[in-house]
Amino acid sequence: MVNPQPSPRPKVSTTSGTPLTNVRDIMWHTNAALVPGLVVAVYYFGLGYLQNLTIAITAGVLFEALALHLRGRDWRPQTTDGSVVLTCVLIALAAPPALSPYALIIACAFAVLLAKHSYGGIGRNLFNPAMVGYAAALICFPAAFAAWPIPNDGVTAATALEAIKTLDGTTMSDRLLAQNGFGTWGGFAAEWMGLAFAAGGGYLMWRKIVAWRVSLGFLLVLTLCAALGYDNGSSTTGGSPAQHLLSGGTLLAAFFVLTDPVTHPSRARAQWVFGALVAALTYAIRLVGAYPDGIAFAVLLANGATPLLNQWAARNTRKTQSAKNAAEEAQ
Amino acid sequence: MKPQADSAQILTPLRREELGNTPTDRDRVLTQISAAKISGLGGGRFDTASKLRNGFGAQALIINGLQSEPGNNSDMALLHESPQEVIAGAALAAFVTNAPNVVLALPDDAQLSSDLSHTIDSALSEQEAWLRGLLTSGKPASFACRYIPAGHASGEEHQLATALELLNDSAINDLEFTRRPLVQFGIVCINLATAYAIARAVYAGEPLSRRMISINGKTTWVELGTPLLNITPPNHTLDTLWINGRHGGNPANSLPAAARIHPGVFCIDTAPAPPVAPCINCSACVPACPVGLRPDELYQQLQQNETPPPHLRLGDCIECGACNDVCPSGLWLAQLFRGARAEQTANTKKDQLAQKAKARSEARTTRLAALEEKRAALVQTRSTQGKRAW
Repeated sequence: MVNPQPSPRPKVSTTSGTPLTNVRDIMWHTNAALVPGLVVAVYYFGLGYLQNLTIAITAGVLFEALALHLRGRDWRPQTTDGSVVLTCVLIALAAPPALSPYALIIACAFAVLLAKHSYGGIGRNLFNPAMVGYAAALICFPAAFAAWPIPNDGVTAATALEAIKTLDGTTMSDRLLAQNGFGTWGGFAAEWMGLAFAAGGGYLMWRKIVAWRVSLGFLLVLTLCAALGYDNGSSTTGGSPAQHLLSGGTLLAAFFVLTDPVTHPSRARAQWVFGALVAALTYAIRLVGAYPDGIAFAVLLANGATPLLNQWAARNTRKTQSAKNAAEEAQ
Repeated sequence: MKPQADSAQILTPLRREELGNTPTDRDRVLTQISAAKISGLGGGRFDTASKLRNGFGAQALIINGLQSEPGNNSDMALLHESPQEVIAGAALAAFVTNAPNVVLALPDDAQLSSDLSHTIDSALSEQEAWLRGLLTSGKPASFACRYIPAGHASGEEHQLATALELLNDSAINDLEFTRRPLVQFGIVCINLATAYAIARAVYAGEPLSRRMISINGKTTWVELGTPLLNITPPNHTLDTLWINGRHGGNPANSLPAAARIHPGVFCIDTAPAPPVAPCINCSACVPACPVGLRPDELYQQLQQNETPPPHLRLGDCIECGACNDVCPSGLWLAQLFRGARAEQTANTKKDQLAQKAKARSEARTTRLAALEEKRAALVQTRSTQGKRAW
């Protein structure tokens, strides 16, 4: 009897990289995409980042195993699926390299125990766990979070984003002139880190892991806000678009924080609005808020709006659909 | 009459030369199909004789040889084994439905040897010549083999008819296209294995007693009624088996009847792994859905034990399982939707019955009230009349 081979598993047609069909793969690929940024960070800021990373991941994984055990689940598969590692890597990358281990552990505890498992674990959290952890620790230890070392020096100094707020007397262009070129406007070495994160983000988009609308909406609206608020560098300037895009955690957040699929809306229209909302809130907090960088708070506020945005988009689609149907019937 | 062990099961074969273009001869073929107890072998198990009877006058007949489930190659194995019978059965179905267009739809990844395609071609033209001599519909009969891109849900009959571009305007404009049977749009679609069974029943007098099944990718003939565990590797239980493909199929332990081979079983597989995580809201299922639904939102609604709102169009789901295949959490979405749809259908039916009962009860109340009124009026009249009389 002729026995032909079974037809191969049908392929989902794609124009770019093959999408990943496994939560574990998605998480580990996202972690891998953070590596270039991490290498740049270690190059400029020394081993502080590696130390933070080790502490955060160890603490996070332990908290995760504990939480799963307390919830009566098997801790093995979910602890190793890369999601908790991603959360902790993001916290470690967002926090200053000289942060005390206690603050870091507290951040991880907030992230894993409060933001993730008290909401029901992976896939059920309303707020981005990494940002909850970061924001909680930032509120607990504001001074420690403001202390960023100057690369290769060890002395802490104000970042460029703080400069936007605290600029007195000198103009922004004076300050920019006093420093020498790329690598110095955004905060120290933040440009190179930002670009490395953007490279990782590009990889994630190519593999269709992240929703590009969220990132693009965020970056576009932030650029727009900065362009409207910029007055060529007077002493009351809001900072140039380049400063806003390349400083602080903008690019890290754009590709790795906002794009957490659990906490951003799933409808296309709502994703644009979500990105724009984060951008507007970030710009506002950077300019007039009490903290130098407001992305964490902006993301959390927008996370809270996600269910609402989803419903709005669904209703909108419904309206368009029924209008289309009505038009067809009329014809 | 002399008792014979098998006599009740053996039908008298018909000869093709006996068949003329008359309703009586169509009926003879249909009776033979009905007597052979043939039901749809593509998984639907719908009675083939009534399907063909209802499809009389259809514009097109599709012989569905697509196997969109991964791991299923039963139809192709059957075609390799007996192409002549498959095509003869297709011609018989075309004869009883009087359909002018007959399409043998095969997946484009079917690797047919040149011998086989030659056999198919000659059988097609031979049967086409026979049909052309018989069919009444004025149009010349066309009998062709078409290759369709193999993929998700390509074997679902609505998708197949769309891919073959056989739809008329009423079907293209119908918003509820996938919810309505294809026969309403003038197309009859039968499985390739059903066509084979028709040919065997009519020309060899053989009732449907066995079918081709693929078990973990290997095809074999299996007698109907064989317990599932008799033909699967010994280390399996019903819990580790999956019937009719990973995408649109069901766990073997979900139905008691599924423990035995019935005509609707075409493929037995190892069960896919249970879900690894809850939905992470990645929306990978949205572009994958061939009918444009939002499986993620449907899943969320069903998880919360809510009835999905009508704009999510649960009724349009074709249960193809494309969403299962792309889901990174490994959720069994199609199976969830199938359950929800069955529940919805049952509820609609219950509602309709309740409505009917309510209408009946209201009618009765009105009727009784009218009677009562009449009676009271009569009593009134009589008593007044009586008073006057007194």
